[in-house]
Amino acid sequence: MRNEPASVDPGWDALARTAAGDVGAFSIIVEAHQERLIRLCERMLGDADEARDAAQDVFLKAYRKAGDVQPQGQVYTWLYRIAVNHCLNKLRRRKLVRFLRFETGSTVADAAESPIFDPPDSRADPSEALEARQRWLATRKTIAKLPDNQKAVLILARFEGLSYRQIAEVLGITEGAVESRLVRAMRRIEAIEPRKGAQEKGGSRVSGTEGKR
Amino acid sequence: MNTTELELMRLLHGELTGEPARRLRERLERDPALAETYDRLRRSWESLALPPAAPVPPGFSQRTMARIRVERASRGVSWSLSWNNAPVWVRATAAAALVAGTVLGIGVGGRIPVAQIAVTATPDVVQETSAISPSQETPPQVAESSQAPQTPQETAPQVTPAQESSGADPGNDSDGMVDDIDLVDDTLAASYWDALEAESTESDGALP
Repeated sequence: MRNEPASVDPGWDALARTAAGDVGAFSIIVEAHQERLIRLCERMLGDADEARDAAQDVFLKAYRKAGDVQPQGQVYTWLYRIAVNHCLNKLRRRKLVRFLRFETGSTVADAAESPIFDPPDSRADPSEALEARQRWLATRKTIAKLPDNQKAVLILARFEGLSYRQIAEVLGITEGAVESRLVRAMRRIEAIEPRKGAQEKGGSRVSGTEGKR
Repeated sequence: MNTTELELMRLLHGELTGEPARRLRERLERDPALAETYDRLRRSWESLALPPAAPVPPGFSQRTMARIRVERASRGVSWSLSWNNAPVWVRATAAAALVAGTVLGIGVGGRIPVAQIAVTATPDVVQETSAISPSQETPPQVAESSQAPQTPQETAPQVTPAQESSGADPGNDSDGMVDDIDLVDDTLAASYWDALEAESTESDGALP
């Protein structure tokens, strides 16, 4: 996945055919990348329904840009770039809407990243399921507190498993910038976690209630 | 942000491989403080967890492609009506027609006298005033240069800008000629009155 020539990815050919007027060729792109794009959007937005809409928007944007894109690297990194920018814009809009509704800062931080957070869980043990759910919720809240540039890097590195080079390609920044953003994000998370631990000790009833939702 | 911190993050993320990774691991074994830092970082990293992504909903790609086809159709309509899509001769002809229409409109609009427009409905009045009206619209310089020399009776009185601005009555100037505008208006009113009378007489034999 690292710096392969453009000809390796057949997606570029499909995009070239799309740009030439063959709309059907774009279905190859959709079929090949729908799963990872929906997953990325869901991780960025924290809402499955919104993520599906966002993924569709991303494909539509990709279709519009099919004629302008320069074949470089992998198609999915190009799609990821569109998706990350799209999701960050959606998050900013969401925050702005909540701000305009005079919601408090903590509400914004909590709700912005976890609007409807009730993912299905197939674990047999209820206590394990509850613990996992609490971790997911805590992670979502932690990510919500990060600045946008650190948030994108963290999600791509931790949850999408991209290398520094790939993240740099997706975000259009240097590897050094990726590295420093990731370290800053981890510092911030470490700073948040002790406080969060203290809060959970003081108010375990609240977190338990949230976990049962 | 120090180099060690960056290296620890690289090691954790799997970016640091080979000899550099081996050296850092040796340092971690020797340095408990560094090992503690790495352990804390690792715990924070591993504590981050999100639920597995929901499966792709059935028909997602079909819906996406349908949306794209709608987009293409709408873009195709707007594209086909675009000037950018028109051949050069179409654009040139349209531009020429626009320029010609504009020039013609300005020319015709500038040449038609106001009085002539007003009396179009009464041809007899047009005949009476035709000798007067062109000179009203023609500037003095143009009249002198483009027209043949005229007799003093044919030449209409000229209204100078100074007269207009001072409010002087052109009908009472020194040459003693009758005001053209008054003459036209009087003639027009009289002809209308005559026409009305004649019509009434024909219809019921009595004056209104």
